[in-house]
Amino acid sequence: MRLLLCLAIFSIAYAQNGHFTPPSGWEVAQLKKPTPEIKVCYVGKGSSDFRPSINFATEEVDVPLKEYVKAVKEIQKGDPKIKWRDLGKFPMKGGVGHLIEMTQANPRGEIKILQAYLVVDQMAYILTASVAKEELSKFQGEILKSFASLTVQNQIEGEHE
Amino acid sequence: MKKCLLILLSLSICTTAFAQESRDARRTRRGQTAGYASRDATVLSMMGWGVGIAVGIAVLCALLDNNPSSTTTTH
Repeated sequence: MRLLLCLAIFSIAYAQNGHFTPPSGWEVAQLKKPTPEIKVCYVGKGSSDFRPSINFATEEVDVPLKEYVKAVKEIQKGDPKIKWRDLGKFPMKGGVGHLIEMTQANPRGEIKILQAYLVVDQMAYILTASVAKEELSKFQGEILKSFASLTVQNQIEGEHE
Repeated sequence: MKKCLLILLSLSICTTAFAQESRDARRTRRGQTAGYASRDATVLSMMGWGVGIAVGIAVLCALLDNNPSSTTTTH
């Protein structure tokens, strides 16, 4: 009976997860007070103190991808320190997503944020990478490769069947 | 058997209620997770800056302590 209960809880908790392959050599990291929606974070090794990072988050949604991107754009554009650039459709293993680039002003130099969204079965999967502007060309390739590897949980189960 | 069924029923009711509450809560905050993700990614990357500053201050203090011209002698 206990086993049944544990299995039920585990299946409910795990059902919402996706999976992606982080860039090679990046380490798992966590903030002291992480946002609950963020499932995992990784940091890489840059040439400066500003280390590139990537995190994976999920959000329950009741709209298609296009509407979700619009909603995110409205929130992000409200910040005058952020410049938003829409990079359009982005193919991922789990489906066709959307990629955007943000530039954030900072006293120590500009920061580039790449963010990819995928909406599958009323769940938005969000991958976000942060890198110093001068290092973007160095890390962009592996970050985008990592974004493209995003797979959704029910698709992983389908592969194992 | 009855106990097992009751527990499963309670669990399904609780998870349904929780899912509905989550949906209602998130409906008013659509897209906000992406904002949090951007913020957390930046904060995590910046942690290296904080460590760098702390190390820099420690080195500076060590250098100042070892500087012979800063020592005073009394007669």
